[in-house]
Amino acid sequence: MTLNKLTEIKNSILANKKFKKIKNDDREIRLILKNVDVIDPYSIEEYIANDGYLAAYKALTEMNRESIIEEIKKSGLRGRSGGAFPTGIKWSFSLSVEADEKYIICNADEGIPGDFIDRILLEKDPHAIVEGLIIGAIANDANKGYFYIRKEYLAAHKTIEKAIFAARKLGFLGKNIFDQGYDFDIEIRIGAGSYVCGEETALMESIEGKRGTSRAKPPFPAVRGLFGKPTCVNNVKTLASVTKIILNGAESFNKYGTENSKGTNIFSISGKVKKPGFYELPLGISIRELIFGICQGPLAGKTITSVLVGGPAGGFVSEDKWNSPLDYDLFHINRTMLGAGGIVVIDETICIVDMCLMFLEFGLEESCGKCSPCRYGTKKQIAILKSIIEGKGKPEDLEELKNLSEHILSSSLCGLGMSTSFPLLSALMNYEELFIEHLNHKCRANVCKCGENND
Amino acid sequence: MENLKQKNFDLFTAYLEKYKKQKDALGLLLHKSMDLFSHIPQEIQLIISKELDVSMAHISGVISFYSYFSFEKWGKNVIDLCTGTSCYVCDSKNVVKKVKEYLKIDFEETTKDDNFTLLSAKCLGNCVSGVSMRINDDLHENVTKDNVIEILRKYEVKPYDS
Ligand SMILES: Cc1cc2nc3c(=O)[nH]c(=O)nc-3n(C[C@H](O)[C@H](O)[C@H](O)COP(=O)(O)O)c2cc1C
Ligand code: FES
Repeated sequence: MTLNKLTEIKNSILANKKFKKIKNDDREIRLILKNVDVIDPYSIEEYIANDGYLAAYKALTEMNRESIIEEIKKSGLRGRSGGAFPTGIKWSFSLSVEADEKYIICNADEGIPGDFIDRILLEKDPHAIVEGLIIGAIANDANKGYFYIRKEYLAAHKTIEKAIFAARKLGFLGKNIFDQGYDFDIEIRIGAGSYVCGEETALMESIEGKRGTSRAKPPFPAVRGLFGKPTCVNNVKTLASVTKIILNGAESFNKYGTENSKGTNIFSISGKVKKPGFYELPLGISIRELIFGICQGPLAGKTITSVLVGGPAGGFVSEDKWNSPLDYDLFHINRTMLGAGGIVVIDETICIVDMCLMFLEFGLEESCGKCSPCRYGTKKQIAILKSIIEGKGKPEDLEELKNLSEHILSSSLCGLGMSTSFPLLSALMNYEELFIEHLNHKCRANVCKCGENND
Repeated sequence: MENLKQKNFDLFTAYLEKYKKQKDALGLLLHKSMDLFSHIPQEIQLIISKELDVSMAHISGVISFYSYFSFEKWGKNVIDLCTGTSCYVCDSKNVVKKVKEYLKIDFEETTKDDNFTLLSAKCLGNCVSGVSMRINDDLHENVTKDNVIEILRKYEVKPYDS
């Protein structure tokens, strides 16, 4: 496959079709979402007509491992899974590791309820992710890649399978890709309904055909990962961003965003706002602008009481912090992680205390059970919180909940246990009065049965 | 010996052919068994154990870990009812209550007539239009406690409350 061939496909499509620009809001900057709702996801030709596979071609012909990694470092891209680890630095670990086989994995397990951007990209621009995985493979010297897609995303299984098939047919995957003497191919693995399998070491166990329990780190996956070989795991959005950065250069990306959080981010907003949906915006936009500007504020006659950022691994952000920028430094102000960009807005009809219980139950159900702080600690938290919700709580319970949370947070084996307490801690920090009201048998939202005569 | 449909059994063994002695193919084979038999019968476990050279204990450990693998046979229609954050905010609690009462089953259970199996999904990626509920391959959105029974009825052989 030469450049001429790509140009030929491009021209033949463009001769018959004009692609329009689509945005869900005028303020959007569509770098990563450029093709979404614009091209037919099943047509590799339409993807190529929009400069598709040019970045992978460029990576193989004009660049080398070092210069790809350098460009990604320069872009300031940080992992979009929520971990926010700088992608260029992660990739550079592989430079010093020797092995006969290396792997790269696209983490498409998108387990956080309320996050759905990975699904949008997988379904609507699958080739951008396949291309990102090819570039990642070249940079990490991997000859084999995996897509780990969650079971729930039925449509995405098909789009990715078709995309891999089409790319293989044109010689972008398989032996001697792009006729440049490099071998790389991809297999798909489907999850089976386990949140913790989104955690990279549990994910690798799962691909190996085992229970998805987390491994202790170190050794880090970059040294010993899938099947004991050096492995790089990246999120769907990260890989889609990589494609655009290599195609258009680091500056096209890092001219957006803030000092520590470069680029655009795709936010998914759901819950009690007039215009929920997904929007690509520069990192650093304020919560207020996003919720009241772009999403047009609360439903008629209602008041927004809190904004949940980062799902079960994030926290409740109270009104006094809605002017703070949404970026990876958000944690320092609010102990809330931006996460993967999922935001759930709530109003006075929702009880934050009951919602905390829902998150703890989620954490317990999804715990892999390997370490006891996560397995037993969460159980204990649930028991205490339940008694508060049922109107049987004692004032000292709140302190006990805080202590327990801090303990679980600091002693769990993996990120699941470390993060399960975040929503509760943030609620205790920002909305303690609600818990106290429950101790006094009152639930503002009228959700909990904590009245005095409930037995 | 369980009574598995010969055709599906042949399909399974043909699929298995590609993965002999490949231990990491366990997940693929379990998915295949779910697709063909709506559960993972003992007989299939034994075959997998032999052909992949993995222990039966390992196989049951894996089956019990994941919510989309099951030892018990699932019903004709599998309901994935979302209890994720956004759907919670759209009152999934009351939808769940309604469905459980109506079908007289809990999560991970199957109705007596084998028509429905109820699963709790943790987000179907359709958070903007919750409550989301998938039945087999059909996605239903904006499900409420008031319209959920009507939706279930479309999958019934005969109504549950008559
Ligand atoms: C409990 C838990 C669940 C996770 N789930 C996901 C997930 O669904 N998708 C994802 O991309 N990363 C998930 N991660 C993060 C991964 O471990 C890993 O850091 C990520 O895939 C790296 O991608 P990035 O560097 O591109 O951000 C999860 C982490 C934890 C602790
Ligand atoms: S939380 Fe229900 S579909 Fe996402």
